[in-house]
Amino acid sequence: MMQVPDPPSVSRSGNRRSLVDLLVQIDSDLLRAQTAEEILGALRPVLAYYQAQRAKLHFLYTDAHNRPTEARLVASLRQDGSLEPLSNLPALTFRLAEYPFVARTVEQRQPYFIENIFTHPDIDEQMLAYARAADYTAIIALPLFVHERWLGFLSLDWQQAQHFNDATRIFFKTLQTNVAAVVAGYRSYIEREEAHREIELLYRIGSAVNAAQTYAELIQAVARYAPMHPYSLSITHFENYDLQNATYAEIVAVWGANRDRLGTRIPDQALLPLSMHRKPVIVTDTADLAQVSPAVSETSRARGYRAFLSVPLTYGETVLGALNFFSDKPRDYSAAEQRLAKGIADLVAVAMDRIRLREESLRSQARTECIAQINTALLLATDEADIVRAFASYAAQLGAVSVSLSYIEPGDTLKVMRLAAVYSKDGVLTNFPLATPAVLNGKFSAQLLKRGEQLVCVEDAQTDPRLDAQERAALVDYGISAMASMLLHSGGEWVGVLNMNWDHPRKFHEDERTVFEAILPPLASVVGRRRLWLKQLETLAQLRQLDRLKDEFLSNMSHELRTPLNAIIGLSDVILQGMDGELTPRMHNDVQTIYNAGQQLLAIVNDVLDIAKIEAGTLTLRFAAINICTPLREALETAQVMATTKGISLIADLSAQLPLVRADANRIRQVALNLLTNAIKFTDRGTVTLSAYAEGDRVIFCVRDEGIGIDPAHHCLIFEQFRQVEGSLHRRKGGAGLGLAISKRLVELHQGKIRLVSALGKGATFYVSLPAIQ
Amino acid sequence: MSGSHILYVEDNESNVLVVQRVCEHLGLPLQVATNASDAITSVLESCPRLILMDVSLPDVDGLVATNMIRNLKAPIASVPIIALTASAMVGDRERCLAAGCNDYLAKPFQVRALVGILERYLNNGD
Repeated sequence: MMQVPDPPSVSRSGNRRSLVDLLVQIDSDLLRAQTAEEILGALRPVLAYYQAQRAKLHFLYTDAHNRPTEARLVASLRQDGSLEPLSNLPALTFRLAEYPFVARTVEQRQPYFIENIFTHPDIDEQMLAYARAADYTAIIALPLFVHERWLGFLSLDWQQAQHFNDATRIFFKTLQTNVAAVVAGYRSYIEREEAHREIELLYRIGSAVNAAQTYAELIQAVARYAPMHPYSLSITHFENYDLQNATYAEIVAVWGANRDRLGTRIPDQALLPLSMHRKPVIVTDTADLAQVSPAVSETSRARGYRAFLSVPLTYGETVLGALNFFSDKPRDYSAAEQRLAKGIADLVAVAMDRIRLREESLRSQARTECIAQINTALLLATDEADIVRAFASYAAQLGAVSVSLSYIEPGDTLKVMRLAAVYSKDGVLTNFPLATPAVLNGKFSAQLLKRGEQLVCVEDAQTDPRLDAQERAALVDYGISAMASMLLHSGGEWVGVLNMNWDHPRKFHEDERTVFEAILPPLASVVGRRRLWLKQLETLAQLRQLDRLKDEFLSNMSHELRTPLNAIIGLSDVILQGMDGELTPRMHNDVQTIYNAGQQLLAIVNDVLDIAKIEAGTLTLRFAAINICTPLREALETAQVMATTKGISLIADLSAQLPLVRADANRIRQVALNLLTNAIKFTDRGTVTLSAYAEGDRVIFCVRDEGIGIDPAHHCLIFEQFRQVEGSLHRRKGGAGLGLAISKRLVELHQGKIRLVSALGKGATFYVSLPAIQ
Repeated sequence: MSGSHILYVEDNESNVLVVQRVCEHLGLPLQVATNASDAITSVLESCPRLILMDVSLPDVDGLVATNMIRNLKAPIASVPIIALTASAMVGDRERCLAAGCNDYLAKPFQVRALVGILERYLNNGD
């Protein structure tokens, strides 16, 4: 505790001697003073001597041009010699700009003596009001400075008007110098202290800021040590800054209140002071329309702040963005606070540049992953639904409401668009395979196709000049405010349009355009392929329909032919069986001819159906592992009747042990029977032999006759449909000429071969070889 | 009422004639129905020993008629039904059997084959 001396016992006559004593008396206390309170405390004898009601010490702060801009009350002494607690006093800090009289007084550097403020000619109304409030009439103000350095001012005041004689004036002039020297020392000390604290704080913030990997961590680091107890902190990032201006700023980090503002974009007008002049922006009260626009005032009210300090984040020549301190009460920002904020901003700017690069690399990675994910989904897509679903997660990420795919109908005009599938954000998937085509007659779509643009982003459908009224109305109907249209060109024509749609206007980020552009070529090719496939499907359906008609025709034909044949064959059979009574040999012979003719016609019907089915590929074989001798014996049995009738001997030479073959027994029997009946048909006398044997990995059966033989020149023809070797001799043999053609096809369906060895007059041998089961 | 006759459901007269001759020869009484509804009426009046069923009839498909008969009360439901049809494409036989026919004979048929089937199913019943 400082020893406070007793008030001096000097008279107020103010003689020179006692004033010198007073100076001597306070000098030692002044020199010992360590704080603002002690400096003022040392002046107690002066207060007592002059019976002043109050002494106040203000510190002054200057701007960059060394002009005093701000005064802060640091101590106040009452008449009874006690220190007044500062918390009792309003407005500790005031801006000199707001008190022109004080500013003027201070800048004159001379002690200012006002004996009666209410009669003094220089005093303005503001000062009078202030004097009334502070209850004083006389005041002495001593501006404190050393050389060019502004330190503060000391003031003493009296309730009553005073008279200040020359001695008093000289005394205070001396006091002014003495106090200034002490305050200078003290202020240097506290400034060193403050600077030290500031450096320490910046060091702490610097370490935390340097450790930050993301914007969120960065703002946390600032917030942890931030001065000024902010209500909210934010960092904005300027896009496309060109050393003059930025396109817009994006809020990349928020701490405290208004975190929902993260990611918001701020239009460029608001950035001008920061980005162009690189000066901090201070608003001490957002309700004051002299400081801010009504819009900013309104916004701040809604967001709950009343004052803010925005410091540009500069890195080299570039303004990266701004660091913003928000206060929920009106307030000023001292020079020290501004300096500190600038120091923090410098640290943040360095970190921000680093984080920005890192985020860009992460974004690029995310972009690549996103493209890969959509690409994969597209590759696996089998229908329209899959195609739109491939964009589902990206659409969700971007907050789109739907993804739609439309097909542009090919043609000269390119005017018809058919909605193919829609994916909406709630997961509803709608497929419109047969949607009513929409006619593309708007200005916008027509222009797009004409210009050949492939990616078109509409940021706001209401204002985009490329849209005409009709298109705008259509989009409003669908609840679409923004969209990214990808026009798909594949195989030399426009195949479709994929739209991602938003229900609110939005800006498209460069990243998003990059993704869309990367996706366009694979998407166009997938949609192109899908459309080609649909076209093929349509053709296939037509072919199937034709096939079905053909089958139906064949089936009906068969039925219609068989019905009358049933009467012909059945009734002639009835007569031949003697069911209608005895027949003369002549009658028997005639009816037999009718019966045979009927059978021949039936065989032809069967053959025609067979060949038709083989041609259509609809003949189904029932494959089984069989011993080929079984169907061969059955065929022999059937042919035996014919051979016997013709007086020809039929010989079988079937090997007992044959490998099995994979075959349809009925069809093998059909082939064998056909070859046997042919052989019998073309042999007038002699023998027909059926042999079967194994040769290597094949099983072979052959039919040999001793008939007229076949000219080698005709060998290649006889397996063709409707062929019979020319010549009147053969005409009478009958048959539609389909037997061999059918046999050949059937053998081939068994992966087998049929071969003829013959010469005219030497008989003929047909070899059929089938692969044996290994 | 159970009868001793054969019922032939067929709308084509010449086809009827063939079966008529065979049945006369075998001494089997034959009734003819020219459409499915007559056939059902006839079956309900007097149950035949065996039914020969054409497939394409003027009113309903013979296989539908077969199915209807199979859903009547015993013993009608179990009467042997032989499909006698000019539908002789792949799968027709299977279709007939699946519809409840006991056997299948494609037109045109050999008298021998018809006789064989009649003998087989009638002897089974005795």
